[in-house]
Amino acid sequence: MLLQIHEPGQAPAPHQSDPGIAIGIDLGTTNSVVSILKEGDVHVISDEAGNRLIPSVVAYANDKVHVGHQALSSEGEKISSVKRLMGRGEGDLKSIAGQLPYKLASSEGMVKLEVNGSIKSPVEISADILKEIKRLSEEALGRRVTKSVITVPAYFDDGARAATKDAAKLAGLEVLRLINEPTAAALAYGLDQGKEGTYIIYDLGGGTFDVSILKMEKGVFKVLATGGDAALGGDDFDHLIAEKMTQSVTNEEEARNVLRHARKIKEALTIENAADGFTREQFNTLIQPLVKRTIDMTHNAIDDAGVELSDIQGIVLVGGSTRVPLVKEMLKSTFGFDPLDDHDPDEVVSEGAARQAAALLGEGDHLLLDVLPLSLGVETMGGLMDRIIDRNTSIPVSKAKEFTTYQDGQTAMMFHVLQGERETVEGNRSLAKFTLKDIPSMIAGAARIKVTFSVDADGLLTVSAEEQMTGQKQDIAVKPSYGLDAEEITNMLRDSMASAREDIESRLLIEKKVEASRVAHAIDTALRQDGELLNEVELKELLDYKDFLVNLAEKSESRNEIKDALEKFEELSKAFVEKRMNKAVSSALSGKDVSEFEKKEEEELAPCLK
Amino acid sequence: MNQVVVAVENLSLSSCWSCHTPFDGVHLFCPACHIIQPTAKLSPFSRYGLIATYDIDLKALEKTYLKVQQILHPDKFVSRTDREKLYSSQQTMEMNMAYEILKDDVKRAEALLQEEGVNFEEKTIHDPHVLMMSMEDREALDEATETGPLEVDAKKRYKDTVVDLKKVFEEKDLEKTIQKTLELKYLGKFLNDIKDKKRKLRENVTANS
Ligand SMILES: [Zn+2]
Repeated sequence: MLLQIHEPGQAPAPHQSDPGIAIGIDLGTTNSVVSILKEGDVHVISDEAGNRLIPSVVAYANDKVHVGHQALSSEGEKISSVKRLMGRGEGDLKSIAGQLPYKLASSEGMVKLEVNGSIKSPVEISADILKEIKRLSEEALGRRVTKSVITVPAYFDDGARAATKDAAKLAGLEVLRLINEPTAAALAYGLDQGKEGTYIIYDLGGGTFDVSILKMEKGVFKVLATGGDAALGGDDFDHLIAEKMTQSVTNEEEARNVLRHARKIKEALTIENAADGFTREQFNTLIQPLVKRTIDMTHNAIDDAGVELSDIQGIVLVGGSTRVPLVKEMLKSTFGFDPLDDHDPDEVVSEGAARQAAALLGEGDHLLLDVLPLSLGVETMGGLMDRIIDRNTSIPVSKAKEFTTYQDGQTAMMFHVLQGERETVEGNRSLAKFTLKDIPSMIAGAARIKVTFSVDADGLLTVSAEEQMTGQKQDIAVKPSYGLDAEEITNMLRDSMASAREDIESRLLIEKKVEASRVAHAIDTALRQDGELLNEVELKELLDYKDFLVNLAEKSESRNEIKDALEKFEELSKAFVEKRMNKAVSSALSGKDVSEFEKKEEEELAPCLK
Repeated sequence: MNQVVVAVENLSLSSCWSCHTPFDGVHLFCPACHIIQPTAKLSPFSRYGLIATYDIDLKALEKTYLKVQQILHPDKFVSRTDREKLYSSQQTMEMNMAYEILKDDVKRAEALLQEEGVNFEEKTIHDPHVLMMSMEDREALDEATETGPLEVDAKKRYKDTVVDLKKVFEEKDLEKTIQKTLELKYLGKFLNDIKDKKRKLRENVTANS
């Protein structure tokens, strides 16, 4: 038999109305840019005063909302950098507070801000920025705009992506697709200049660093690997200069002034060799270690992509901080070619978004294939994360894994959905928790619960869990519950490499501990049912040893100690297990039910690996 | 006209969900109305129109993969109905998963052996030569201050083992095939460990500079 793959285009396509227009939005931490593709060229839409960069600042004055440059000069209470709060939960409050000039309001679940006497969520504030972008676009284009492509940092986790989509919905914009910022930049270069081959997309913004390795070939843009650091950017350069300035700082206002001054010096040193007593050489020495770190991460991404340095054709520069001369110099001396910087690094992401927006409506036949930036999994017994989808897997993707029960008669199972690279639960982001109920009562390890993770083309996750025998099923769309801020997410990405070895050792130990407590639990149940098969001495021996195992499971720090104890226990209990089996066989023959397990209270237990 | 023709072992009769025209076999798009169809249960090999063998043309596979993405990816269905969007997403997921197995020398071998009923969880490496080598590898990696030579050597061994594996698959020697697969799996893991070490060495240099 033949399976035939037709081009869908051959079909007389069902009649379609005018697909309309769609804008490309780079919704940035500091500035936002909006563009549209018209007759093959990308046009940046500017505000009434002609500014192409719209500051991502919202000012709330009595009943009035101002966005962008108007917000900067407004009297109202100003909110900036709200992107850093997207998808953050209550648990993030501690780490974020103090870093940002916000009044944070305590609320259920999501982080909220107190603004001018009312409570606003980051999603609502982002929506206000997007409403302004929509308004500016409609005025510039003279028609209604309802469709968009919005870019997000490649490292954005599920919660932050979902929050961005929610903000667009609030603003009355349909998101045709969320795309990653470095990928958008690659698209802008690739489509404009017909580049082919494997490229590094190096994106250094004010507060973040993203790097992607991307293969462009015959109109297909395939992301091979992505990496970065959510807490490394050009703002760190300002801080380094500020630290070297001799002024003493006594209050917040002065600190802000020093930083503003430092930024001016940095910008001047981009063009000149000296500014305000600083030479470019001094500046280079200060920032060299930070730039080196971005280059290390670039090497790591190349390794992850499974390509060699000799396969790389070029480097695309994105983000305002790539204007710093040392960045270009070090990239050139490391990789051997001049970085591509002929598109404005502040506008190139929005340009790519506009091109993708048009393509999604049928103009252009290129294709973007992206990857999952951070691994996804569930918590298993013992506080470990079991990965279900590895990072750098092509999306959309769907993967399933089977888990089983930990206790006899267990009828419920709690699933804790996690994102990150660490072996243990702590240090990974918690995305959601849900419970699968009404699992039929069976002995431990007999139930088969299939957990399916699906990630769509926007990078958004859906999870379902199904008991295989009864088909008891639960689906959830993942919404952020609580967790870490973006800084911690990348820190953990970095730490996970350094601590991989410790993690493995601790994972093995935890697994042994879980095994010991499971064995102890099983023998306890068995002894309560069939203890009469043993004489008093035998019974006491087993019970004592069970207590010993429980103690080991709680306190032991040695995997080998537990392993030896388990082996010895297997010997000790051999006779009892045999007697029990004989009893089971004979009662089965006599037609009695042997599996009269005590009915357990419904307990919420994490799954065990099958 | 672009058409990819793919062989499927099982003959089945179904019909289009949209225009109800009956058709033979498995189709991604209805032969009559060209609307996308729901996914069918297929082995990774059949999904890409390949006969289930170990020695496959990876270059050709990549071409088919990209071709298939061009016509199935959700980006191509943005203006279509929700049902078509769903099928496009599901078809792309299946194609992605199958591609991941087929392009990987270890996963492809495991997929073939699983069809033979081999349970890998019960299998361990017996060859004392391989066991000895893995211990030496471990030591060499622990002591290494640069990973270059180790990586070159391990990559060569990996390549050679793939060649060996192709041979034993052809000879249909199940036990030897299992052992070679395990050896290749070990080498894949070792290459990964080298990568981690390389990363660590790189970061130490940065930290100390
Ligand atoms: Zn049809």
